[in-house]
Amino acid sequence: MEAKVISKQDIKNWLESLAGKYEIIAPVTEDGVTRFRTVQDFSAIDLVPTPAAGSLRAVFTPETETLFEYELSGHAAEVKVSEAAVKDRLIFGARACDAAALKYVDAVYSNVEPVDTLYFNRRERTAIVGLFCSNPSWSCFCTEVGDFLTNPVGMDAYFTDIGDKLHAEALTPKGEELLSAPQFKPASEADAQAVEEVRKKALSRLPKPTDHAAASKSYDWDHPIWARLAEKCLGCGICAYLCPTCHCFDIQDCAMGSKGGRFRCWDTCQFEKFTLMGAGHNPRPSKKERTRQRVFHKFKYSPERYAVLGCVGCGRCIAACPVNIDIRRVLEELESQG
Amino acid sequence: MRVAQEFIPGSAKVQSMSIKNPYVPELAVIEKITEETWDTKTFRAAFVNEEFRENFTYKPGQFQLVSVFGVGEATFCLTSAPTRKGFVEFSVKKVGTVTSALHELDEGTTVGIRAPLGNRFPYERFKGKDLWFIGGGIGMAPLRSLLNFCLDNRRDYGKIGIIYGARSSADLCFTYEYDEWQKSPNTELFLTIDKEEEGWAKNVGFVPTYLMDLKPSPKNAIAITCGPAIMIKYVLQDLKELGFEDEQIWTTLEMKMKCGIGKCGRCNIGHIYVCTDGPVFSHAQLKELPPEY
Repeated sequence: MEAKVISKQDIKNWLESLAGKYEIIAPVTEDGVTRFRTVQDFSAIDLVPTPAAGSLRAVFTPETETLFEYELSGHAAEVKVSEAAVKDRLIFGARACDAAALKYVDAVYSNVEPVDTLYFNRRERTAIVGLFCSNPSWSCFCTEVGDFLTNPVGMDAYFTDIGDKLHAEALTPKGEELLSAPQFKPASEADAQAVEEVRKKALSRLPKPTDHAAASKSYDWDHPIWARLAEKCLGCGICAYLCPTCHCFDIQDCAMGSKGGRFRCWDTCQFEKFTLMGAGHNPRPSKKERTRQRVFHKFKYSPERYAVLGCVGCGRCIAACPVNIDIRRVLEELESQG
Repeated sequence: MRVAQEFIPGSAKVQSMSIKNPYVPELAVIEKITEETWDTKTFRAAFVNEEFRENFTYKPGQFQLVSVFGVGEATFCLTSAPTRKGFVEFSVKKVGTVTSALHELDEGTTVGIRAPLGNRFPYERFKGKDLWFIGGGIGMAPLRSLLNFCLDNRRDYGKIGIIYGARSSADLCFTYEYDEWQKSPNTELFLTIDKEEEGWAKNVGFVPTYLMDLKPSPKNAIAITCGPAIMIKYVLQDLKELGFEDEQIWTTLEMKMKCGIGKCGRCNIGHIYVCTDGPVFSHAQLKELPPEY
């Protein structure tokens, strides 16, 4: 399908025409923080030029999710699994990094059978329309870890802001279906030119690629940096909370008398109790082990296991870390000779 | 190592998009509770669903996630042998929340079980060889599954030696099976306890020390060990000293687990997950992994 354009004024009624079929999820700014939310008022959509504070993770794996409910009566127990159908959703304004991160999580949650059906049920029913980052943030480094900014993966269509309109490219049959709406007109040569310029400008501010996966083969398990990070790191876990490739979770029960349920919720290897065993042994007893785990998991173990790097360079961990730990500097140090 | 499967939403590969939720346990009734020691009980459970119970099968070395509804779920090895059908067994040492809750249960209580999980002992590779089971304390539980499986297929294996030790005679588990083990042809049980005890006529000494006293030959032999970390450390050293190669030494690891199916990220050692690539590992495999377990 050839490229299209949509006037910014038409976006609202395009989304309105889809609202019957899809739940629309788009970036919305509240109290200065932009997060992906279900939107009914399309004028509230804030297509910020850089990644939103929150990733798409919650769209596919809610922060807390009920796995099942149970009821006890005497010695017997009954388990009830929710049969609620997943609605069709459309994410509008996703970033290339976040869409690429979904491909990573796909690999993790399907690597071993049984696959995570809760995640894939949502994945199957969610169309993704991406938006090119015309103004990358100081903390962005996606081009260092992949080329998905210009060769997007994990999305159905890719839009680029070229002033009063958005340039639109379909990437999948679903994308073509979306772009066949009447609000989309064929893109002109001038439009294509404008996209080129926007791309060039953004790329000039982003780093060159580095093969961290290859470099990780010689990362030092006993590097002095771990002890230094352990001194700084608060173990707050904000890096994991905002990270689009983080996929770890806890499973807990919640009991109210004879009824209750089991839920899963986001968890992080940065928390002390993550690997704590019942009898007291903890393979990662200090922040030294835990900070090393974060870096090794994303840059070494992930390529080893999934042939995909576990970081998409979204930079949220860099921007949010309260003690200014910058993963780019950590990698530089790990990869420097001498 | 399994390479990522490219997931394309809607592709035929992911067809079981039904509500089959891998985190939902099967219901099972506790049929029998055996008090092994002052802090360890063995539970025998049978799945409630008849069809599931009839078709349920597993391999020695695999594990299960047992739920006490309202309290939580925890990992226990399948200590029963798959050659003995109609039930599963798990041995529980009372150390924390879920294990304490299990210890409070009566026979007849319904629990949840997700099983079988994990990899298994590659018993085909052990056929025709002499087997040395070296266990300490509750570490005997996973070994027992393979041991009884081998004893049920006795002709497939060579000499079987079982070295089993605990802090005291009161800490020894599965005492009711010792006669059965010893009655099996070409099978010998070597018990030991850490300290002298009145009435104890058998060996006194730590398991690794006893192992060196017995000096099993590594020729055409396999050693399978499990127990407290410190015991495993010395047993590995001693086995190497006796001439056992890394590929001849097998163990089963323990890690905090939640999902049991390689998703929640908790039980990794390097790039492997103990719940899916383990818990059974050879020493040759362990040597390749970061020292973080």
